[in-house]
Amino acid sequence: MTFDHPQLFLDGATDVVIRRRFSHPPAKVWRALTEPELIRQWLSPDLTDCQMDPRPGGSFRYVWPEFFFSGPVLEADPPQNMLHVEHFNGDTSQGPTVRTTLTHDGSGTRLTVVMRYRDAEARANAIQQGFTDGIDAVYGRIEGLTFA
Amino acid sequence: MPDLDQSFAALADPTRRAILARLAEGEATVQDLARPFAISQPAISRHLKVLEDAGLIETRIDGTSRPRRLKPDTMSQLWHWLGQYRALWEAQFQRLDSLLDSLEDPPADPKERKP
Repeated sequence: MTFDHPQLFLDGATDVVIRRRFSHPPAKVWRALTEPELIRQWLSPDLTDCQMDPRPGGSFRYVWPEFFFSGPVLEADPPQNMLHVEHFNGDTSQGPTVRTTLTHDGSGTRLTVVMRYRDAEARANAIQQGFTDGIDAVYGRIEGLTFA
Repeated sequence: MPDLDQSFAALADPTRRAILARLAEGEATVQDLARPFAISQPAISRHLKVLEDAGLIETRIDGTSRPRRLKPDTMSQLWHWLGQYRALWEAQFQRLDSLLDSLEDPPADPKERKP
């Protein structure tokens, strides 16, 4: 099965799920998602700082001129699983936990990102915020959310 | 614009999502809706009220019958939002595709399952 477009859906009360297939093996996709110099190349040309320490107890920090995403890495099992928490502009009182899963799919990779919010209201707020901030801000937000 | 916050909160319940899926096929009364679900008509009515308050469905008055139907404006807003969100992700993913194409293949890992 191939995914020409990402599948995106709301799952249960708290999750936003994204799935997508890549035509390269998990080890390669893992590198692109976890090595700062590679992250810079696809995430955003506007990043002013990009740090990622993909180990349990590690953390990440992606900084744009106007905002940043950061948080702890809770689990990391290269090249198939990472769990991290994602705070917006340093607000540690909220932000989803994000589980990134890479599985073999033929010669490629099936990527699943599950963003889990505290409750249905938190998810609705995040979604509505993304909607009402307008396309530019959404773009920045999505970039931060993607694999932060 | 509808209150998306309320709309998404209404979507959090699996029974309400199933009701919406049923209404996507066409309007239905409380009796119609209660039939496939193992819950009472009053319970269905409570779910319908949440959906209606959230602007996701509306009631049509037809004599003594009160069929419910999807409210197209709100549903299309939600659909539009999801489409926009999906497009943004896809833009990211296409840049990631290009980067992956430019990377050397990793050395073969004997632990990895071969297709």
